[in-house]
Amino acid sequence: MAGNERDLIEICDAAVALARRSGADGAEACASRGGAVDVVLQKNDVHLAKSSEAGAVGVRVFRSGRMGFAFSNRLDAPSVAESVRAALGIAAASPPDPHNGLPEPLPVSYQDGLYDAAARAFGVEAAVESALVMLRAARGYDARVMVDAGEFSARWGERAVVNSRGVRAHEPASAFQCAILGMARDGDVVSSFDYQSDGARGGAGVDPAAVALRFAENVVGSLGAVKGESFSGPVLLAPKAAAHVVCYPIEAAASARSVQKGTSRFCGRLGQMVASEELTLADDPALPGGLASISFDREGVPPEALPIVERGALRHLLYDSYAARVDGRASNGRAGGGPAHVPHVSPTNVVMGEGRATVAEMIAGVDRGVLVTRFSGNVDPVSGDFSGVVKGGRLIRSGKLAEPLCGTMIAGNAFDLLGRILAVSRERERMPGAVLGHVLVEDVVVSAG
Amino acid sequence: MRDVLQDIVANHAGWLELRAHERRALSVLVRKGVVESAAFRTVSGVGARVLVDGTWGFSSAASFERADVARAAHDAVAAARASSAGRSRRVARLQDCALAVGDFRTGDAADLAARSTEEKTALAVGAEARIRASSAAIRSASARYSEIVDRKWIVSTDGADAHIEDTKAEFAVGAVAGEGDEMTTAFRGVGVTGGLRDLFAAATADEMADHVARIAVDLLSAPYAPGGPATVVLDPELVGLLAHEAIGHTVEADFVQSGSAASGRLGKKVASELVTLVDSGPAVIGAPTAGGVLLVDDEGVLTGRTVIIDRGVLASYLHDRESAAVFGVPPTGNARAWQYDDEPLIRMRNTYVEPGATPLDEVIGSVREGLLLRGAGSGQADANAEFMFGVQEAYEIRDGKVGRLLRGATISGDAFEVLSGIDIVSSGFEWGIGSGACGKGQEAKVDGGGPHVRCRVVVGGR
Repeated sequence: MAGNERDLIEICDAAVALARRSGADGAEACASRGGAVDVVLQKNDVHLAKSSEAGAVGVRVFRSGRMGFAFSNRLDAPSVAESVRAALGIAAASPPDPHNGLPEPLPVSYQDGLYDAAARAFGVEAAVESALVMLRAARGYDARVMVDAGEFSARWGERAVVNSRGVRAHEPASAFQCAILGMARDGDVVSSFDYQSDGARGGAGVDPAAVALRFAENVVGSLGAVKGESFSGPVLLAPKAAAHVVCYPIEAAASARSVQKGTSRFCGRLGQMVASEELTLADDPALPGGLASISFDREGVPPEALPIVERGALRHLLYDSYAARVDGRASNGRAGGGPAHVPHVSPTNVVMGEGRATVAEMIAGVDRGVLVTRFSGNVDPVSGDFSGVVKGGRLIRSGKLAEPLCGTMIAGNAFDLLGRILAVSRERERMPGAVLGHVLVEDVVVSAG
Repeated sequence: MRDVLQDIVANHAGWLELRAHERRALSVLVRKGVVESAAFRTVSGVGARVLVDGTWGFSSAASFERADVARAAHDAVAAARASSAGRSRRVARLQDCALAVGDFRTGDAADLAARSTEEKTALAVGAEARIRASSAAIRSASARYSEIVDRKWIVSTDGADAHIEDTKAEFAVGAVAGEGDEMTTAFRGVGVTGGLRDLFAAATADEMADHVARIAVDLLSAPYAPGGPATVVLDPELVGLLAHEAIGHTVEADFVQSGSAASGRLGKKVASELVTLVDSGPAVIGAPTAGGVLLVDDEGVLTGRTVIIDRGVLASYLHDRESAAVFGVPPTGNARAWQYDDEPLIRMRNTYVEPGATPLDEVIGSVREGLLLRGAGSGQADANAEFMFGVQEAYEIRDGKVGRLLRGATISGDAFEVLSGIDIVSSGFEWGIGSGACGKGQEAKVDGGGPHVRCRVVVGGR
């Protein structure tokens, strides 16, 4: 264990012990406590400063194969006791499931770098200054940039998981995050929205000015957009769009629970090619500075780094302890959620492998196509069908970026699309919980209204 | 509780608003025969908001103890002072208005309290099993029941002194059908301000389960919708989504001040004269159990019926007390906070298009070639009023007759262009988007609805 865990661990111990005394066969308590300063931007100005401290505890109990869960945002003994009683009541009302249960304890290797003490010392004044860096960078780029909302926050805290089988894990963590959204306005002409964000465990890892400039470039670049052309051809997905159309369906389909329920296109495909050889997608719980970096998951299981898709082949599924029991194997530490949630399968940091071409080379190789900066639409993670509007889009003509687009939709099937990936970019962009590149795919249906 | 808040407010120098909030929530999620999550959650505490020298400060305490609430008020003042230098424009004043005093109750809390957790769990378990049993083509199913019971106390230095109790319930079902590598999904949800009786007033859980099972299976053999511009008939769910997502967000006054597509268009024609679009706190039309019912907002302002578009002309934005003062209009009661530790933001409540006079069969009969679109999927709208919505069910219309089911339809367009192109508005009215929540940094329970309308949109298909 790392850090000053005594109080939070004691709270969890007490909850688990009370649950056992009250008749639970097994019990788990997950708790967190911490504080934050937030400075909110609105209407091109500093809007509001917030400071807060909060705690949370979630209690999961098992009785005769039945599971119940209760949560409270208060850590005092009466509130925890009420949660234990409520969880037992929920369990009594739920049907039994032979796969319900808790994981065995495993040794946890605590990561360095998850906690930056500067977060706790970060005051409102410093958060205001960082928020102003964003605001000035965005508005200074072009007077037509409108910051509808934004935020700079510093958070610090600790979390702990204890269960009746012997899991006892605790670690402190911090996060510095910034986000900015808005548009550009030139007279009556309003651009597409854009949203940019960044986050890291340490303050030095976040660059609010770079985030704001990326936002400003995108919204100014989409002013004067015109309706595009209808065709079927190559589409270059920028990292945000790739997260939506490429990564999200892979993450959903790689959940062992989805495979077990027969709602994954990856059923029976482990070891087989599910994408072009250009694509490698890994889940890295130890990504330095990564906002999803953790030493143990929501159930106290240490996660290992996993390639999900490696040069197009499906290498691993994501397991929490429930899914692991169904398949008669060990969890690989992908129980996600916080104290307020029953654990569910979730990746940590999703990292796309570095590609072979630069973005400029990818654009230069396209005779007629579309750059999609952001995708506003629906992706059905079960069927893979997607359809939505191109945001911050640019036509690519004869290897060059041409006019910005509006009123243009793309549609297809995300799982079919994986096989038509032509290239992944060498450059990659860090987003909260992900590092992704540009992805060039062929034969996408583009409809202009 | 009220005494503690009143005492702290009475002894505070300057403007202070305290909002104590206790939330008790139950949710049950069943997927393919397994109760994946059955959870009871309580969240309670007090949010303190201050205005110091024209600058907002906010803090919160996860406690109702006097000392903790007083500390939150103190911390809010400190936060406001610390951020003051960074703010370039001061809040000159908050709009004066009569603030709520008294007790306000919405929703049938007694009905929810009278039903056991076993009954609510069995509801989800039964519906999910029914979907799976309906066809060999069903691969998986889900059912989710959830309820929120809120108690709030809002006390401010300028006279708000309200106790609010509110109850909201939701039920949703989903089906996944499959054949070989191909899978299709269908979903239906309902959300109300009320209890179980209200939740199933329009359709029972079994009827909802049967519906999604049938649609998921039928979609397996359905062709894809053709992409491109089309004449469509939108059902009340999609009209509600259009009103909320594509229009409603652009008229939130904070967004207007940032330069949204609705900025500078008050008094101008923005829609067909057949369109009157309203955002209302109380449910003044249709079923009184709309999912976004709100009698008092989180600034203590009494809500009412706000006409956003009056027969085609943009008539009002949606305001909190700060923006109302800037625009010189009364606040519309749209300041809402999701939990005690969230500050109030301008949000919608129940947003809808008022019905017209044309019977639905005449609306459909008027379409020579087009689509009847039913059921809202997720939706997004842009600053420039461009929107994109998923559609649950799309049916061909040829020569005024509804034909085969199509799959994979989404719709997009410029919201104001689409509203301007509405040429028939049906009689009848339904709420339709009370399930789920609207996101704007925080969640908010909202609803939307309307009649059926005929218009032109871009269909995203194959």
